[in-house]
Amino acid sequence: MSKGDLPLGATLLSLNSVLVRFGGVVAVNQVSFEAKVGEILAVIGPNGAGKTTVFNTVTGVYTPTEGDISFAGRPLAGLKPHQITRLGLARTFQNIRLFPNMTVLENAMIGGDAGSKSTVFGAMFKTPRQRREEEASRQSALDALSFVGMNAPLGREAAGLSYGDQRRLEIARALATKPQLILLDEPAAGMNPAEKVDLQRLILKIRDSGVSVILIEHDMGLVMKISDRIVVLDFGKKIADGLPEEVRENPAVIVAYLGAEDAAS
Amino acid sequence: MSMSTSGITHRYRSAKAPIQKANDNLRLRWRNLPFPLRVLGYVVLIALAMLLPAQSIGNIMAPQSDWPTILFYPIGSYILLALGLNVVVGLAGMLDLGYVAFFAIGGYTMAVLGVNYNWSFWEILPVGIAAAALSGVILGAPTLRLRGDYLAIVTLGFGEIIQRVVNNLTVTGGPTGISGIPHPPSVGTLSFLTYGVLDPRPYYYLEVVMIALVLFFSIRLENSRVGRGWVALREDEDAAEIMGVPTFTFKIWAFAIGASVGGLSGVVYAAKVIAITPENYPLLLSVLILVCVVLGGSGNRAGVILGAFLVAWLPERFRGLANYRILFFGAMLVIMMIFRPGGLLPARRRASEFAHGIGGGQPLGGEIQSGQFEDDEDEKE
Amino acid sequence: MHNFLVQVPPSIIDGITTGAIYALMALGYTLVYGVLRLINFAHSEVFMVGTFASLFTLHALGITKTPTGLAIVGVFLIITIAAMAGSSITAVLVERIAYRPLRKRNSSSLANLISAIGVSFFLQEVYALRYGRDLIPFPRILNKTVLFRIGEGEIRLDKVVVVVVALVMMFVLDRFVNGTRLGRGIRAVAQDSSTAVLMGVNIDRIVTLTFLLGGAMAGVAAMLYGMFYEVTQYNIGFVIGIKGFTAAVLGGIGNIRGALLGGFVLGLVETFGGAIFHAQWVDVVSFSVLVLVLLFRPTGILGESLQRAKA
Repeated sequence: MSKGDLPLGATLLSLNSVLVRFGGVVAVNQVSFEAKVGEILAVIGPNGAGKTTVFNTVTGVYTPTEGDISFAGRPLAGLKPHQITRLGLARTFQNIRLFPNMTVLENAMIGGDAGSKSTVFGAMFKTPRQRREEEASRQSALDALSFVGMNAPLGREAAGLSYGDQRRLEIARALATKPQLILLDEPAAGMNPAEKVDLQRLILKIRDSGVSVILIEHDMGLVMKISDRIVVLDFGKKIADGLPEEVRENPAVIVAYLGAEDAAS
Repeated sequence: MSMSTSGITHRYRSAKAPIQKANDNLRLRWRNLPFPLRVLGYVVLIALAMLLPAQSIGNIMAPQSDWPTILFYPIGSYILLALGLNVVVGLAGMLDLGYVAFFAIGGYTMAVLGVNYNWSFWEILPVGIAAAALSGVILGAPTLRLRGDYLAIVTLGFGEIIQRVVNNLTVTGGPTGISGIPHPPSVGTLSFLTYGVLDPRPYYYLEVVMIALVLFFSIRLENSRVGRGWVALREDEDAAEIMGVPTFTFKIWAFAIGASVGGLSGVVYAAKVIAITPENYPLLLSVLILVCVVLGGSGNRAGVILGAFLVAWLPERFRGLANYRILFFGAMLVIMMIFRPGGLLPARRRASEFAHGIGGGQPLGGEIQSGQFEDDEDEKE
Repeated sequence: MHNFLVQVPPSIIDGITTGAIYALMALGYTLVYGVLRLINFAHSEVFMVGTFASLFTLHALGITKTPTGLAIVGVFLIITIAAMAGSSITAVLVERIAYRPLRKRNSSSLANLISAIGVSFFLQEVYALRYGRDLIPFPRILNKTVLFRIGEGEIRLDKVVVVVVALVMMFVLDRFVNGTRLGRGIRAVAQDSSTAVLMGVNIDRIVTLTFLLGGAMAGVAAMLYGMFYEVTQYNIGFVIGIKGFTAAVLGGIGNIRGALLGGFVLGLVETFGGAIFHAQWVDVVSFSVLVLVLLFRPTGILGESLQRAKA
């Protein structure tokens, strides 16, 4: 499903001393890490650590105050979110953001359309290119839907789907853009154990199909099972970066989590 | 740790009204008809449109007015304008309160070029459409960063500026407007294609052709990447942008297409009425066209046509009540928004802009980038 | 150039006078926006009803020629109260009928705006059908005595009254919002409505109060307008409404003191614009100001201070 041509293990996404400031608040503070081709990278950290802000910055929603981000060797500075998506970087949202009144197929086709170039004139005069692109978009939407194991009929409106199918549809919509890298923002949130097992399989399947994954997740069981590498953020700073077993043993990480737990209780 | 378990089933209500269901079924059945039958359907529709100006129908539909005349204006013109505004409001979900400006730009293009430069209708038509589309882009490019009601107010201001500018300029004839606008050239000696002063039917037929063309292209647009993109950005602009929809470009397109349809109807209208003045282009007209779109069911072409027909026809049919039409339509807008925000024939893909979309559920403050993703922040939990 | 310099003093005087009325109107938009994040499109009709309320009161009092002595003060007080009452009641009714049901359903700003347009046209038509579509004259209640001159500029009694009354009302409003318990309720809701609810603030009551206050300010503006221009009309509110809104945006919508500043700035821009181009371009100048401000500085001169700044 990937359109990437970088070798396995090459750097796909790199953040270099990224700092994001809102007014006086520094949400992301000098964070650097890399995601490599063919791996599942988890980004974890207590609430408020700035994980979603990192996603929003990578996808171009926020502009980093300092530092730079590059994807497949290309700096992302100055690109709009839709341009970044078209480079092969797709995402899902923490609180599902489907297009509720569009059907399952249409939602996925919005992703598939990321590969199309024709616009108004193409559509008005049904140019050969437009027909070709329309068909390609439909095909990649259908492929992505079957890849994630969508059960619901294609004509059903997204608002009427079960929770699990909504999650699946969001992932399908992102996969339909034919990304090299997919960012999953808490995909397991609200899932029961059985659904989590399905999700775990799906994420591994995505990676094995050649799409690299960055995952924000609170479920440590899931993270430890499937991640190739883990980045830990706390208060906007990166406090650890390594293999799951290294991170698990890292004293700074333990303090961050215990501290957070103390503060919460 | 995370507690954000609320799925969209909680957020999006999807109760369907019976009319809407019937509408959906009809649409589905139509789509599944074999091709020849659909062609036959269109032929029947065209025949009906051709027969519509007949006196016997007029006796029932509008006994107190000249039926062919009101078929051209207001009925036909409102339908054309409403179809154009529907692209902006219904599909792309942007509230344009200055739509009459494009109707005026088309009209004055026809008047100025026709009277001062002796251009013919068919030469002016593309210019009028292009002029309106261009002003749509010029207005749209800077304003479309704004959301929701700010955009509405800017477009309202634009409509007022255009009206006052034509009222003050000499080239547009000031408050007295321009008269002696040429008619379209007649085609052969066919009576129904002879464009003169007396018979309104040729103009009506011209309008029917324009409506058919607009419908044809808007259906194609809706069933393309552009149409999907419009609906997506209406439902969740940020998500659409992040999923690869060039939201800004598509919004400009929606504006330009809506504007060009407005310009088209302006040219056609001015080519019949001989004289136009700034009073032909009041804010009220923008609002009435908005009523057409909202009443029928914004986003749904059949609904919009029905809405435009009702808004144009009811005051003509019930002339005694014509004085009360604005009162009535004003009250109706409020009632519709309270009880049936989707319109009489709601679009299947609609509702969300009335439920929570376009800046609705989200804060308006700041308007542009900042803060729109706050809800996603872990901090909020 | 010489001609323009001559026009400077009268432009300043007229700009401040009309600016005072715009500022009073701007308060209504700003208060409602601060609390509900809603542009009360029907505020122009709240104003219009105020002008009619003061006109009816003048008729009811049988005033046909300019009163003298203490009677002036009495007449002023009565028509001010009438206009404030008429406008406030209209504002509160508009909220109850056109906005509250939508708010309970959590409708979008688009639905609210359409509803507001509906109620606006409805109100205009009620008055158009009842009192016709022509300008309706006011009796003169204050002589346009020239107090003193600055160059070509005349400081007239009625202009002074407009500015002084407007400033007093704005001061009272500012004190009310910043210095009383109810005012604190408004500010609490403006800052964070969900927290305000948790703290026991009754939102519906605060919203009603907000519309009442905004309406009262529009009523004062309407009375002053009637006294100053001595006409009204069913659609008189439209242009004033747009200008009040422009003033509110200019000063930073949601910001009470900004509304004052925005009103005066807009008044001055307009009179100077009229002096430079021509009087008939005045409205085009203010509409252009509106469009330009929304485009380039949607937070206004002072930014938003009634509400919490968005991160």
